[in-house]
Amino acid sequence: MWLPIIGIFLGIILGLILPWQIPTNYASYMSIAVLAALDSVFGGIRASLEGKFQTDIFISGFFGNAFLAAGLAYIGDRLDVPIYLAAIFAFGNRLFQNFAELRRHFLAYLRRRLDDNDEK
Amino acid sequence: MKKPSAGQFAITLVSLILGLMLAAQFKNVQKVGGNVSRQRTQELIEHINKLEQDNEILKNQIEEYEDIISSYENASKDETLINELIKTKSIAGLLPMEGPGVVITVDNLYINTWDGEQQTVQNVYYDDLLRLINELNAAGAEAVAINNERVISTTEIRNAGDYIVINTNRHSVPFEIKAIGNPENLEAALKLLGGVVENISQILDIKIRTESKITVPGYEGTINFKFAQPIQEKKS
Repeated sequence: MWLPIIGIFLGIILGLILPWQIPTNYASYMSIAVLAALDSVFGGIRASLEGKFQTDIFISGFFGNAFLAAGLAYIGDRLDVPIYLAAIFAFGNRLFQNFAELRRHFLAYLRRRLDDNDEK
Repeated sequence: MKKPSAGQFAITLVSLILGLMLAAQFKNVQKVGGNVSRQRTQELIEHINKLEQDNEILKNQIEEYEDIISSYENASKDETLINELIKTKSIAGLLPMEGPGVVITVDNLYINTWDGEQQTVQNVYYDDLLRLINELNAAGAEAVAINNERVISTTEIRNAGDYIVINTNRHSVPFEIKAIGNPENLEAALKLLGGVVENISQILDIKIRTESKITVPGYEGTINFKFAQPIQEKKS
């Protein structure tokens, strides 16, 4: 449970220290990719809490969604169709759903702990 | 907590990548300044460049005007300098002038065709106007304007499409030429036998009237010398 959070912080720190820069042209696609990646990670945490976690699905989902979202946004820009709105909607929606599920799991976990303490 | 499984390791790795992406995005937003599309950024950059150029020009103008103001301030103590300034401006054609002179109107000449339609004989061509002005200047005109465009040393009169461009402004018929000078001399010069008006009046409608008081506006544009430099002769 704690490993992903440690991973994120490590990544942020590394990213801020390393002098990498995304070209400004691709910044908008990067933002969509970040959203897709966030959604994948939350989905992964949720799946692991539900005991349905499968590594291959998670990894492929993470990279697949990120590239698909960025690629669709790029194509949309070329065709002047705001596809990125669809990506924002879809991933944003799922992000909140995943978070809701996580909250429920967390509260259920807390409740069980309290019950255990009462019994002792 | 149980021992980290392969799955948790994968999540950690992916989180690391996510963190990197977040950091990159964060840095980008800091650099560009948020939710601004690239196109808009470019537009704004162009806009800024143009405004900066305009600013530069305006600054130069301010300097010029400040010079003028200071020259006024210096001159105000000295009557002859003011007079000199007015005289110089008059010669340059920057001041509106009034006095006796002639007003010439040039319009298209219409004839009826066989089917009853009106048709112009010939459009006004720039050299018709130039010849008139040439004649007026030869007869001693002191201030000349066509359609209230003061004719000065840099004034162009040329055809551009359906228009005639005078002082970079577009004009079309009817043309009204105002010239200040001795009215009788001017009129006589124009109406010489075999002269300009006789020639032109065959293809254009041209009217001349003398007036005791006409007003000719000053030149309204700016005169910039980029290449020409005055030569200061030193008095020994």
